[in-house]
Amino acid sequence: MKLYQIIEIVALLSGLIFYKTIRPDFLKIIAVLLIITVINECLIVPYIKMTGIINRNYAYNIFSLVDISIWFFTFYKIENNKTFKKVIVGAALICLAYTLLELTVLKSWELLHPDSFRVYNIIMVVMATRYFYIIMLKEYHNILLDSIFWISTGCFLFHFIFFVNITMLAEDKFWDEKTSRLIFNFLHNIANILYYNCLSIAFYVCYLNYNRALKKSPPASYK
Amino acid sequence: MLFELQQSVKEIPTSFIQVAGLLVIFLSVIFIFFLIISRQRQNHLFLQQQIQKEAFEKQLLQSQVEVQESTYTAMGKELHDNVGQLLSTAKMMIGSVQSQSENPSEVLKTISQTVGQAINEIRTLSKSLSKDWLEQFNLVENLATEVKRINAADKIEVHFNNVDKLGLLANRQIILFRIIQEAVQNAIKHASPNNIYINITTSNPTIIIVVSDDGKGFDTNFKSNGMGTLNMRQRTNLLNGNITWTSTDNGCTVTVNIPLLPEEM
Repeated sequence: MKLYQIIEIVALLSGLIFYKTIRPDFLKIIAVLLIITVINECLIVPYIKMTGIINRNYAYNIFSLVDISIWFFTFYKIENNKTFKKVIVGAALICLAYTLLELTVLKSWELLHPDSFRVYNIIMVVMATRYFYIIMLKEYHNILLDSIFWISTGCFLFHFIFFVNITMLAEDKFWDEKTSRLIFNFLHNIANILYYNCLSIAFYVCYLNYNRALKKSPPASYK
Repeated sequence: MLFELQQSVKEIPTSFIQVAGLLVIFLSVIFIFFLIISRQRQNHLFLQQQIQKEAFEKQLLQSQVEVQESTYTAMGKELHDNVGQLLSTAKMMIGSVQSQSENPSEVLKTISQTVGQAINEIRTLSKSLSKDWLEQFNLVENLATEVKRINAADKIEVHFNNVDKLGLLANRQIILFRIIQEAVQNAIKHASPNNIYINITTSNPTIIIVVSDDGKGFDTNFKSNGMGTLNMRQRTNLLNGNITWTSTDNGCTVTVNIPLLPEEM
């Protein structure tokens, strides 16, 4: 079992353990996404790899469509501004359309879709940054007790690193270097470690906030 | 131009791209750390400002209460030294008229008695207004005197269920006394009750004071322009407590919860 798979399972377990305490409710979909991720990456992909019945990129590509939809839905729910909600819907449609176009017309389901994935990376980084901007404008906001902040941080770091990694991967001469694979794996693992740890922290923060609410302690935010 | 740019990009060694990639990642992590630290610092500053604001408001309240207390004391002194003296002189003169006349009339006797009663009333009232006087006694004793003063008028019966001992600090007892005094006065003025009940209970670490009456009640949603309820609220805030009003057609109840300080327990 690889390192990122272990971290994935840890994040899933924390999501399941604290599932009842996850607030706001729409964040529960992230725990559902983790279940799908673990099933895909720890069961389906190894099975396909072992049996060789189909190209494993089919599984990755189908999963990435689910992943894109769920994350756009999550940021749509996080956003309060009606105009930005519309922007998110537009961005989601463009991103999904480009992904399908790349998979069906420009490339194939047997290949990954790095170009549309980079578009997705950029949109996610922008949406996470917008959340950071919103919380910085608040008069008082306990950032460490904000589950959405940790989720946004996970997205920001993962997609930022992944964008850089895929961009480097697209460079023709990249694989000529001896350290290429090492660098790629290093960045891939760093991105996953940061992402899944941030999700685990977010679930734990939900649990802490739930307990604080039970004890009627002061709110995390004044505005 | 574009071709030249593409050529120059291709000439960049891959190891440089890798280092740049790692650097960008490092910077993104630093960005998150900076974000957390800066937000926490902003929170810290905000909380400090809030604490300062609360301290300032409390100080302002304290000064207001002190000014009110000195006004009450001055009023009490005026009543005692001025009106009281005038009434005493009047009583003395009535006495002199009575002694000069061989057969003093009943009316004169009644006037003399009424003036005497007024003198006593003014004395008790001036005492209840004077902070210096009140500080000589504890809250329970002061309340008992106040109850006696009101009951003496024979119009309203005030029932006082007191506790043996209250551990409140002297200056806090005065503030609490003023709150209860105001609640009783409000009931007398606005509710036309037959009975007023003052109940004090201690349940560590809180003192609960309930002042209720059997008057006509009032609309708790009505925002009064009077200073009475505002004063009561401010004084309760000064004691870090809370005050609530509930009212029905059968009367009104004022409940004051005051948390005890560690040195009062």
